[in-house]
Formats: sequence, structure tokens, C-alpha cells
Amino acid sequence: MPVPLQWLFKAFDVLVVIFMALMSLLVFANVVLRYGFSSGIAFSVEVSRLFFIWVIFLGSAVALAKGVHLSVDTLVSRLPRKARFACFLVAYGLMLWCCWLLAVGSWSLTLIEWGNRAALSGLPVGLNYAAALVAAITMAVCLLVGLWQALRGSLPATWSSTEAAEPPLTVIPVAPSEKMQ
Amino acid sequence: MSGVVFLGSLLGAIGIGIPISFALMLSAVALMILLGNLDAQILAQRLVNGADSYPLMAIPFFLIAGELMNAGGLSRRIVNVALALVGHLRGGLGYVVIGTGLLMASLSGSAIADTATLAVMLVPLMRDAGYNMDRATGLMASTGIIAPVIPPSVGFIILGVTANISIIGLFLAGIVPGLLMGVSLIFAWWFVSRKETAAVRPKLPRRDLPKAILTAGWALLLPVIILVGLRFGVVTPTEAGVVAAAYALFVGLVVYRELTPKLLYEALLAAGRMTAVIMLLVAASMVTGFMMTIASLPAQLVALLSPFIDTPTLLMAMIVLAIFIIGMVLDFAPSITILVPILIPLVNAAGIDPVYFGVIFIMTAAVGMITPPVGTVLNTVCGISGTTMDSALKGVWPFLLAEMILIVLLVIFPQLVTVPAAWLH
Amino acid sequence: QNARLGYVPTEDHPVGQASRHFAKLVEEKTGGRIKIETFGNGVLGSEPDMQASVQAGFIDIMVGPTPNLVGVVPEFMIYDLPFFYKDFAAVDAVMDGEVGERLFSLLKEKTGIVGLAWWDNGFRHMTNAVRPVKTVEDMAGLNIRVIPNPLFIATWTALGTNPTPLPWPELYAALENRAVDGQETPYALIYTARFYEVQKHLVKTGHVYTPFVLLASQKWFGSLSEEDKELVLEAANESAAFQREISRKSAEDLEQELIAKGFEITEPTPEALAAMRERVAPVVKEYSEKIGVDVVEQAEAAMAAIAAQ
Ligand code: NA
Ligand code: NA
Repeated sequence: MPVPLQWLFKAFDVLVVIFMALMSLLVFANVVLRYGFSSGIAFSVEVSRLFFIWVIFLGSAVALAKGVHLSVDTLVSRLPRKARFACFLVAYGLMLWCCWLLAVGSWSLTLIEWGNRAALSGLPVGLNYAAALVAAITMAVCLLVGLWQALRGSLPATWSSTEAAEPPLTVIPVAPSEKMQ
Repeated sequence: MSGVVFLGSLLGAIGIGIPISFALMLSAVALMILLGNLDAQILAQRLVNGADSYPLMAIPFFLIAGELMNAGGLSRRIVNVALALVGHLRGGLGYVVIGTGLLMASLSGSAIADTATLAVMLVPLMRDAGYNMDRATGLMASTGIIAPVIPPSVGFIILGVTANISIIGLFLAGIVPGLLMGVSLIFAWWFVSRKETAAVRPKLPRRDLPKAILTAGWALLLPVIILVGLRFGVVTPTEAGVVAAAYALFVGLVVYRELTPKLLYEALLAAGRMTAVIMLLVAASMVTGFMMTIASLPAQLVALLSPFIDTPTLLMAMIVLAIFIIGMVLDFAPSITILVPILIPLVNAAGIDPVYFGVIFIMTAAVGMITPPVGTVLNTVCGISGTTMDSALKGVWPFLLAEMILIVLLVIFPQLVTVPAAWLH
Repeated sequence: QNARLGYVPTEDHPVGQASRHFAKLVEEKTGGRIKIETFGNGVLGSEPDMQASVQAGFIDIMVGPTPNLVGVVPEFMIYDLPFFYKDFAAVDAVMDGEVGERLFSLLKEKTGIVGLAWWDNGFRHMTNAVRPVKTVEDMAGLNIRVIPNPLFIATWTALGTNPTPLPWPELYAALENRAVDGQETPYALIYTARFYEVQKHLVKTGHVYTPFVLLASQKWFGSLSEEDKELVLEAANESAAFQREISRKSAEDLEQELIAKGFEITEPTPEALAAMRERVAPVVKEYSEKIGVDVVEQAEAAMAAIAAQ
């Protein structure tokens, strides 16, 4: 992965963490205000949902770059190298096309809905679709980089019949030492 | 025709290695082309709005709670309680796995996260004590899949939103079947470990037990808060999620003081990544579901299977078989998002209680995570225990069999699910 | 391929019955040239989602309430104005008169969507779990769930309550655990959402009338011959008469049904309603300017004309 893209994904990671934190804070504050003080933040639901959407799409772009979207390599891994390469080309071609459709669709929706304001926060509804637009563009760039790397000989894990090196998507806690009991 | 195009494009795309979320979008695009109306704007609109759901926001919140529990040291304390209680029995660490797994299932919504934690905590202990590691790996994997059956559960949230079934109803109905899964594993473990030669641990001094329970008590309080809150309508599932996350943060930060800013960041990032992967699947399946309806696919399936609609038990048995077979190659979340929109019109037509259907669906789909060739949970344990998938399969089958027998029993006697569910609700 | 008609309410809701009636009328009138398949229970998506699909031509016909159209045509807010319509006759005069026509042509201009007919959704009434309400003073301090919309929030603030915007799927649970004390929807929704299980008092405020609209996509409607267009519009007109009748009749029956389920229903006196109207007068004035004073005056004129008859 080229350095500028690595930086971009680092930035996406930071944004994902910030949005996760803000969305939890907003909803939690609303719960506390409602039960404790019978009041609430009117825009809480709208804004937290916007953060949720951005978490999903920014996170999806990073997940594609790191190859953690769920896929099945049962069939592909049994194929000879040439057939695997063909599958890879078709798969990447179709995914690029999907990104293209997504980018075109979310671009026009962003424009259409930019003037449409969310009722309570006043934020443009187009911001929802902008998340998909950003994701579609970054994912397309990742796919193009992947194609370039494949032409130079290194296929992504699914098509190269190697085990994916990515650790599970979870924080691994420290194992207990015997003396801690 | 539309059915062939849909299945062909979906399975073809998955088969050549395209991530399932993209394959779902591509199958929707294929249906659009078939209907002569390829519209990028509708693709984007249904995708974004499929993700834009308040009830689904419970998913990131419960995932954050689970990650914070792990990072904050709660899971380790639960292991200590289980060790103090049953660690000294013959095959005792096996019961520790099941007990810890049941408790952690009531704290977190994700099988992978639960299983990884179980394995990290208990693989070293079981290896040092000389247990058969194939069997131990199988047990941990089959315990980890209880997580989505006992609330909180990401699976129930996705199923509830896609099928329009009460999430609270599903949560409450999952408790007893989840515990029964634990019981079935206890039987299976007792049976296979009768002749276990592993070292038996010394019994801990009695005075250590209250202390272990007391420190872990903070963890045990969380499921109580969630369940009481939901049962008595104090909170909605989304709010329960955020309360759970806040509670886990409080315990990790204030009570145990193990949560550093770095761990907090990592926990939020891990939960965010998982959210993205799961939710892109859910959103993509909303696009597919819409195009399937537009192409009248569910109606065609109902018409096709109408002979079975009069015998709900037979229909449920067929559904379980279908989920089991599809669960062999598909992961947990995709089996829900792909199958539920297809099955729910059938279930409604046959008059099957949707909550009962939901519980059986989630149990069977969870078992799919430990069946070959694609068994993500089994794979996770293998990664940590250093066992190969092939030898893990030798260890897992007694437990897999026990859980499948339980599901068959629940299909024959639906009352085992519906009676406790009605009582808890 | 049959045309597809989508709606969110249940199949036995007046909208569902009338949708099937409309489909039958169209098929009969066109001698089977046009067949319409109806999809209830929101299987084709939420109302805003369907609206986009109608605009894109995936869904041919839909039924939805007017507040979702406010985003593209703010003039539709004329139906969200509080205490603006006295009775069904007043509402019908506005919907079937120049204002209704004008709103449909604005919608066509901005989105291409073709408005076919105005259907009934009933007057909205307030329910709560705390106390019987007869006057505006009785409302003071109650937490009322409102649809997330500034005009509704302004209205309920003016009435002295604490309006809480909540998404519809969260409402039942919020009422059950008293996160909010009350809500405001038409009879049909109060009944189908089983609010009688968690609410006790219903006051017939009839504060807002939000109609349903029957909308068609430009792609589908434009593809019809001139003759078929006429026949579809004719069927739409007849469906409106049918739908309004069963919807208003069922609201009447539902009132008895709601009482049987345990609701205590109160009816504010004309004086009490006048006091409420007075409280919201500044809100009506403010939003009349946002809607366009000419549209509001046109509506008032239509209502005055019908009252004079
Ligand atoms: Na769980
Ligand atoms: Na499997």
C-alpha cells in the first residue's frame, strides 16, 4: 500500500474512533437527560445516526484495504494459478464497477440532498450520502492499487491461496498469569 | 428467470472471491439490469438508508461494551471465578470454559470476540495442564457460539430489524435456549472427558472464593442491568447498548483501573471496524432485499413451498437444514442478511411464531461458525491454540453434535422455547 | 410486468383496503390493460425511501403522508398547521380545491412525481398516561413525543408541553416506560400501534390534519396512453371518495373500540379549543410566512366558501 494511502487510512481510523465516541456520548447524554431531567438533546438522534453512517463507510473503506470484509475462498483456493488470476481480474473488475455505480449514485444524491436540511440539527441530508461517496472513491483507489500490484506479481490473500495474516477484529486481552489468582 | 439471475449472480460473485457485501450489491444490480432499469442513485440511496437506522445503532454500542470488557480486565476476573468454583474437578478446566463462556455471552454480542477472549485466557492453562488440545479447541469454539444466542446479541438485532421482529422479544427468548446450549456442552464434555488424564488442579482455599466473586461481581451486574432494563421497559435495545458501554467504561476505568487511553482507543477502533464490516453487509442486503421484492422473488418462493406451509414442524426442519448447509460456507451475519428476507414470508404464511423462528435461526446460523469448510469461530481458536483446522474438526464434532441434537429437540418441541419466552416477557 | 404500488400501513388499514380497491378499479376501467400489484407493511421501504424509488421509476405508485414531501415542496406544510382545519368539510375544500391542485403541480415541477389523489389520514389527537386533558392548562408540563419536525415542536412548545422528538420505532417502548408521557397521532395509528396498552387518556384535540397522497412515478404514468391516463385519474378520484368514506367511518368505529380497550376520551369545549388556538397563533403566523401567505390565504378562502354554503 503506497504511503499516502496508508496515511489516509490512519486518518480514517482516527475519525472512526472519534465518531464512535461522539455517537455514544450523544445517545448516552440523551438517555441520562431523559430519565434524570425529563429533557433531551433534540438533535441527538439525527447527529448520532450521521456519525454511525460515517463510521460504517469510512470503516468499510479501511476494511477493504486490509482485506477484512467477509469473503469465501473455498472455491478459489482449489483452482490452479491461472484460473485464480482470472477470477481475481473478474472480481476486481466487478467490484470497481460497483464502486463506480455507488460513486455516481451517491454523488447525485449528495447534490440533490445538500439543500435538504435535517429537521432538528439543520445539517444537510446530503452529508449521509457524502459518506458513501468518499467510501466509493477510496475503495476504487484501493482496488486500482491492488490491480497494479497484482500485475507485478502479488495477489491479495483470497486469490493467492495463502492464509490471511490479518488478526481477528477484536482487542486481545492479556492472558492471566497463574500468580494473579 | 429472476430467481436464476439472482442466485447465479450472488453465488457466482461469492464463488470467485468477491467480498459478500459487494456480491450482495452486485446481485441487486443484476436484478436491476434484468428489469431494464439500472439506477445508480437507487443503489446508493437504498444502501445508505439501509445503514441509517436507530435500532441498528445498538450493534456498535454492544460491540464497544464487549471490547471495553475485554480491555478493562473483566473477562480475566470471570475466568478466576470459574476456576475457583469448578477448576478442581476432573476435566475441570472444560467446565471453566463453559461457565466463563456463558457469562461472557451475557456481556458481549459477538461470537468472534468472545471466543478469542476465551481462547487467549484458557488455552495456556489447558495446555499446561495437559489436556487434549484438539478437544479443548473444539470446546472453546462451540462455547463461543453461545454469545449470539444469549442477549445481548448482534445477530438478534440484525434479524429483528430485517424481519421486523421485536428485538426485546428475541433477547428474552434467547436466554433459555442459550443456557440449554451450555447444558448440552456440559453433557458432551462430561462424556468425552471421563477418561481425561490431564492434571487436576488443587482446590483453591475457601476464603479466596468470596474475593474472586466480589471483584467479578461488577461484571455479573451488567447482564442484570441489561435484562432488567429491557424486561421492564426502562430502556430500548439501543439505549441498553449505550448504557452497557458506559458501564463497561466505568468499571474498566474507575473500579479495575486497567483501561489506559491507548486501550480505550484500540477498543473503540476494533468495535468501529467490526461495526463497519457487519453493517456494510446489512446495508447491502437491504438493497438486495428491495430488488428481490421488486422482482417478486419471495412471492415465488412462498408459492413454490406452499405444500409445506400446512405443517410448520416440517417447514422448520427444512429451514434448519437449509441454514445448516448454507452455514457451512457462509459466515454468520451474511446467512442472516441473505436468508431472513427470503424466509420470513414463508414463516408468516405458515403461522410460525416469528420470535421462535428467530431463536432457532440464530442458533443454527451460530453452529455454522464451527462447521467446515468455513468456520470463522473455529478458525479463531485454531489461530490462538496453534491447532490446525483439520485436527480441530476431530475435536469439535461431539460438541457440534450435542448442539445440533438440542436444535432438533427445539424444532420438535417448540414449547421449550416459547413457554420460557412467554414467561420472561 | 404489473405496476407496483407500495404503502407502509398494514393491509387491513384503510390505506391498504383502498389501495386494493384502486388497483381493482384501474384493472376494470382499462379492461385489464393495466394491472397493479399492491405491497403493504412497508416491504418496499420506508415512505422517504419509496418516494425516491417513485422518482427513479422503480416503484410505480405509492401512498404516503404529506410531511415527507415538505423537504422538496415546503408548501405541503399547510397540512401541518395546528388548529387550522375545523372539520372534514374544511379539509376536503382545501385538498380538492385550488390549493390541492397547486401543491400537486409544484410537486410535479420539482420532482416529476405525479399526484393522483388525496386520501384521508384523520385528525391527530393527543393521548397521555398521566391525567385527563380538557383545557390547555391541563397539558402543562407533559412530555409529548412529536414527529421530528420543527413546526410540531413549535406547536407543542406553544401549548406548554415538553415536546420530545423520537423516531416512530422507539415510540411504543418510550410510552411504556414513561420516558415520554404522551403522543399525538390519528385514531388508526393509535389503534394499530396498540397505544391503549400504555396510555389512558385521549383528548380529541384534532389539532392537525395530515392527509395521505396517492403518487405515481413519471416513468410509469408518462408511459400510458392519453386514454389510460384519463382512466387512471378517474379511478384515483373514485378511490379517494371510497378511501375517505371508509377511513372516516373506521375512525368513528375506532373511537368505541378505543373506549372498550380502556381509553378515557375527553372532548374539549369550543372555548377550550379557542384557548389552544390562541396559544399557537404566533406559530401559525410564523409558519404561514414560511409556507407563503398567498397559499394560506387561498386555503382560508376555500374553507370560508364551504362554510358559507
Ligand atoms: Na451475547
Ligand atoms: Na461453517
